[in-house]
Amino acid sequence: MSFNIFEAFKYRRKKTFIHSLDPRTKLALALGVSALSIIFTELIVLLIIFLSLVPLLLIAKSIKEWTSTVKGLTLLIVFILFVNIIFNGLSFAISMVLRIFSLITAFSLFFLTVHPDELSQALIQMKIPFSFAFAMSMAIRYVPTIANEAQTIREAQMSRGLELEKGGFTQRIKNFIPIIIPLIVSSIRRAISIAESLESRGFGAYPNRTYLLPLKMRKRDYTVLITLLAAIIISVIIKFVVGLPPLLLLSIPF
Amino acid sequence: MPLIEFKNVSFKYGDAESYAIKDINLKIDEGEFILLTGSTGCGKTTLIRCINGLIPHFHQGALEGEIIVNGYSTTECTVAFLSTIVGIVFQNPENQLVSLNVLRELAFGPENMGIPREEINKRIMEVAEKLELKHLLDKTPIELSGGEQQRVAIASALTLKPRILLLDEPTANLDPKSAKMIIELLDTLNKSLNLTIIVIEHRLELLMDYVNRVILMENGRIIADGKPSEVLYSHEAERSGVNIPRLIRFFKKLKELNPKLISNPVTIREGVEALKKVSE
Ligand SMILES: Nc1ncnc2c1ncn2[C@@H]1O[C@H](COP(=O)(O)OP(=O)(O)OP(=O)(O)O)[C@@H](O)[C@H]1O
Ligand SMILES: [Mg+2]
Repeated sequence: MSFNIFEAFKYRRKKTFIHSLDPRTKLALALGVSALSIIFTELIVLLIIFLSLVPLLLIAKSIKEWTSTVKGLTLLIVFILFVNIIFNGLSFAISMVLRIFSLITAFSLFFLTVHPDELSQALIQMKIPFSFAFAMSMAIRYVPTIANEAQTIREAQMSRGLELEKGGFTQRIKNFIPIIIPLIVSSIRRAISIAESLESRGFGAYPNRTYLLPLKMRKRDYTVLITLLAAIIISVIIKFVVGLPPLLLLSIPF
Repeated sequence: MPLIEFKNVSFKYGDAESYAIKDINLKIDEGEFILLTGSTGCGKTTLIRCINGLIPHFHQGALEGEIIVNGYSTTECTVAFLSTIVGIVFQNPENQLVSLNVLRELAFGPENMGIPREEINKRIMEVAEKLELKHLLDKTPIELSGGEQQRVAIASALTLKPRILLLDEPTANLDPKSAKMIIELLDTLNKSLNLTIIVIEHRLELLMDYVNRVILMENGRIIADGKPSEVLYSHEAERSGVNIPRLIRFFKKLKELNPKLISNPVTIREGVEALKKVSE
């Protein structure tokens, strides 16, 4: 399975400067970097954007997880590279890949360092309804549980003679029915008992819910945000008003 | 006034043909520790759902009669309101631990109630101390053992400070040692907080040392209700096919052989006493 693509988007508990930032700051960072890498098309600039993210990965001690995603995406990246070389030339192709690298890096940095609970708390403080944010964090909570269950059902059906690898394409898809149906049934049953438990603890009953761990922006968050904003403003001015210096316009001449 | 009272209660689920519980009359006082048992499908779960208002508010159906909990009629309160009086713990802890860490799980109920932060923190610390969960507060549910998960499930009901705790087969997914620990914990809570506890359990043996009352159900009705020594030595218990503890079966046989044996021991200690008495 290409599960390792998701490795880069799975939170790891670590104590680093990046982890300690407010999720809203990190969201702004990811969006800001994405915006920059879309605004600019120049090879050198995209390279600078990408390279400036590498120290952040280092600070967050997340290089390993990041590498495993990139590995997982190798095929896709190679594909993009070739298609672009054929239609748009090498220079454009490399820019495109750099841009994709920056986007992946920015978002994996976000998901690697933001705990799902923090994320849902951030959403709540950004005025997203509690039930929505809670549903999201619960979905994350139950992924391993359901995965376990799928595995158990699979083993049970295989011990009764189910052969997943048998037959042609459509047959192989049909082979999954004896796994999917029980999984759906048991998930519905599970959902009802989860709902019973939520109901029994007053879920959604009162509008003035308390949030035990509210998020607070700290000095470091403001520092990062101001730096980011300055970087964006300066780049936009250089690009659209002053014009990029020739050095940054260099590209591969074919 | 009893803490829980059922007056002629019957309930039929949604479009079911027959009653899940029928003509229930029941009074439970504060501080009781009760074992609720009976064969599969006899209505135990249905009965406790009536106490915290899941019936009729969550599970729809036809409810007859009246259930009074701490002076409130359950049909007139919400489940959320009742949750501060009645805590409930279900069989499968996986389905009750909805948060990504233990701390948040314990906070979940009080947060929903809008209780102030300092008070929530205080309650979490108290409960975590009592249930020995302090070292687990930042663990995710998946990192916990079955027994720990069930302890967290109990703790997350207790942070709402209920006076009644209902448990539906809390040890069904646990190994014997963890099961024993959970029951001992319930005993401690019963004694130290004067918490009223009702446990549904098939393994009666586990609870013999602790409960003061056994309620036995069959086909939606209560067929025996009283001290363990009365209920478990009754014909009804024999007939209903519940798993009567070996010690009791042994003494039943013994009593047939020896008319001098008059007491009904349910614990090993009582058994030893009874034997001592006849041999004197
Ligand atoms: N949610 C439901 N909807 C419809 N019928 C139900 C529902 N829950 C239980 N029943 C039915 O009500 C009756 C009593 O069930 P209940 O779950 O209360 O029994 P129980 O004593 O708890 O059994 P067990 O020991 O198997 O848990 C059964 O006939 C059952 O099929
Ligand atoms: Mg039941």
